[in-house]
Amino acid sequence: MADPQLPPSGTSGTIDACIHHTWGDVVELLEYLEHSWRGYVGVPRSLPRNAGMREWVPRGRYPNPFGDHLPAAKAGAPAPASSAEALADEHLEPNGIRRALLLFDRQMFVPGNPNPYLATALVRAINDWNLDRWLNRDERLYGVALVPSQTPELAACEIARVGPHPKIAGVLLAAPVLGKSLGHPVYEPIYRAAVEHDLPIVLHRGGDELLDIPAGPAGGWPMTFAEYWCLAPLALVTQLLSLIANGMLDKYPKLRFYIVGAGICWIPAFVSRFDLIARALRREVPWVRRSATDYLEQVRTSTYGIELGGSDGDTGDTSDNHGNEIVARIIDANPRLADWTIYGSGFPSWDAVSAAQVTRLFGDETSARILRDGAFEWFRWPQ
Amino acid sequence: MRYLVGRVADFKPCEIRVIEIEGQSIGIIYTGEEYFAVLNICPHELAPVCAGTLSGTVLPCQPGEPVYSRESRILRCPWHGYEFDLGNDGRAAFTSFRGRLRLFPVIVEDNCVFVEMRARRQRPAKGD
Repeated sequence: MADPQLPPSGTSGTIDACIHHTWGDVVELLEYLEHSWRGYVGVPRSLPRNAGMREWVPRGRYPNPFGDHLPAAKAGAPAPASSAEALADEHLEPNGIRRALLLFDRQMFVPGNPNPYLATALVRAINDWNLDRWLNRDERLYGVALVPSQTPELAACEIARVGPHPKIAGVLLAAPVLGKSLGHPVYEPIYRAAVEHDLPIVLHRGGDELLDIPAGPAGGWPMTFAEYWCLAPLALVTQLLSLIANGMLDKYPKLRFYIVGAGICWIPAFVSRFDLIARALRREVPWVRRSATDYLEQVRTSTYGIELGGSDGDTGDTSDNHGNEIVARIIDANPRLADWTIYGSGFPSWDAVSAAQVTRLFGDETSARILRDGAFEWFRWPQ
Repeated sequence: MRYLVGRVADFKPCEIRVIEIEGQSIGIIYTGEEYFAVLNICPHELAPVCAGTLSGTVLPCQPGEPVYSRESRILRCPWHGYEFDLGNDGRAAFTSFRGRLRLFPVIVEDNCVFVEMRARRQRPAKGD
């Protein structure tokens, strides 16, 4: 479990490239939704028993039985990270965050809505809400373009619409909504548009657990949130491997990715297994011409999702904590991991990662790069 | 030293014939145009590479647009599928793997096919 409160331990000038922001009330979105759709989705609490609005955020199979957010949120209070002002008080100020990348909360799954026309309308509205209520209100806040990925041509249009905004620093893809992994050529309009606007693509975990999209984890469905959470990194590796093995990183050498929610321990295994593809199986994928470490030049991974299962609080004592010991050893054995790692806290998620934890794992000098420099170079924002 | 491994008429195109010369297993390969003599040990994991297949392969290319080439030049190891280009001195084809097949010179003279190897014992080659 994460620390009960994120300690005010961020070094001044930290960039946090993963914040799950949301709305205080879904009603906030309605003014940005096109009029004809507004009537269709309804108004929350306009009918008896709190009914009135159609449910349109795709449901997942595995709600966290203990709640999705840090326990600090009080019952009855607005949800954490539900306004730009609240975020500044709750997280940016106490942790010395000078720049933040907002990645949405469950809104990121809206492109998976079974109705593609509604999905497109909602995505547009969410992007407008994001610009108006967040990115334009605090100079520290940057965001990503959500896209209607079921219809890749329309997704490219949405990138062209919001991508040029100076506060948009990337494009978000959270689910392979068409049931084909992201390396499938059907998604190419999205990659072309991202390259055209010099926007990295953020691959966020969670899409494999949605009910409304025809995708699933390899080998079969877990039955509990606990299993799902442990396996979540693998879904992201599936998508990255799909992108590489099907030639997307070669076809678009300027395309870059930021993987969120997979942690870092996937990388050494990925690099060694990838050799199999590049050497023994190239007959099937002759467009794969580079080594894994070469392809990883187009990829960064977030600290959000880092494998710190057993927190040791702030004591730094890992003597009773084999999990953390393994992570520390993997980092020691693979010094290049830091080159591919960018700090993202995941605030206010229950498994958020603090800057202090990053510093303990990587050491002061390396963590300074992870907390600031990595994100600085990767996203499309002022240098 | 030259070891006679057969007559030209004995070899069919795209055939791999494994024989023993001086106690070493050697694959004699006739592509239809050229002869190769390959030490029957894969540099990857020491598999009997000459039990593999002879074919062409696809060149590195754009996704979804495979280009087939090197017909009858690629020996593919049966164990892990590593491909070796006979026409490129036995080097691994289009990968970063540095291992190479060991090739011996083949001489065709008076309709006879010879393999040139360093002599170990003064005995002629045994065919099978």
